[in-house]
Amino acid sequence: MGLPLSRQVARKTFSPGLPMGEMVVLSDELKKELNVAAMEVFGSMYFTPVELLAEVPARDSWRLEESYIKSVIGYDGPLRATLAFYFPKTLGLSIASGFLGAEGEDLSQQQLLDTMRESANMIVGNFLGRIDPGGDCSLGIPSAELVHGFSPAEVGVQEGEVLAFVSDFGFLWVIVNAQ
Amino acid sequence: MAFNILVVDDSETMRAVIKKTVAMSGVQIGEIREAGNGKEALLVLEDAWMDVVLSDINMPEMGGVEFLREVKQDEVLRNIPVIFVTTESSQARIDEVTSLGAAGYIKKPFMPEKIRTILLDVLNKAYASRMAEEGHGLASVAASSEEDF
Repeated sequence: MGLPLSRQVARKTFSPGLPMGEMVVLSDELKKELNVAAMEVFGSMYFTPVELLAEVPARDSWRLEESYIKSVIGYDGPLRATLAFYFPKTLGLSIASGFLGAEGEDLSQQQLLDTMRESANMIVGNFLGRIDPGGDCSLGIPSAELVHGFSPAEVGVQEGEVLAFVSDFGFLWVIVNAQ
Repeated sequence: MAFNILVVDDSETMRAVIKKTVAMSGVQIGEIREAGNGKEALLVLEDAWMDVVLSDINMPEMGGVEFLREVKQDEVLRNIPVIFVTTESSQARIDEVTSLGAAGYIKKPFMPEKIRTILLDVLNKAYASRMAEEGHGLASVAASSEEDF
């Protein structure tokens, strides 16, 4: 049973000082579904707990890593959005080595990127299955790259709404550009 | 009886996960081959007989649905069961691929038991049909594979 499409996206107008206009953000109902989807993927495939925080954590708690795996995937149709996941590299290494039976040094960057690309694919695919059971939206093909010097404060302002999942490997960041 | 299995997914990681799961499923495996998309999978099928295909849907070059259509149009390949293992989980999509002749549908993320259950069920049906065609009595793939363990 999915959510009525007309109630799926909330609009928010930003205060002066930030770029004028509206940013489309996910409604609380959609965030709950995204949380369930991520928890299911991480719980059943990786045996690693994650949870979406209600608010972006305080800046002094971020403990940003040097490298993140940025995996981007979108969906199109009556609902449209692009989600950019920023997985801590340490999380990616843990997951990939478990799947591929290789230790960190034996893992190629390609294998690492492929693992997290598939992770984003499963999370958003699962999410879409919950919010769009009729299949009116189509899932895109994910991409992945290693990024350095990532900061949610800078990226979020430019690219969309910032969400944060807490995990055993630090925060997993998601930048949502919904339309 | 050992079965040849083709795993089709553009993710190397997911192919590794599925192969590992299949190996642990209790099904007697002859050969496991891999392909990164539907086009590569068709090339594998030209080269070697596979008893079942486990395929993703969303892949570059040729996706799973187009691959299934190609298989079903081929006189030699059309009886090979194709099971989809995919993130797409809408009922509309499930109905679409079922109507095209998909033998099974597994949603990602999956528990290993799910792959085992569906694989055994599909192979059992395919094997029973083949045995009947060859004039043998019906045999249970699951029973024979479990007896060996």
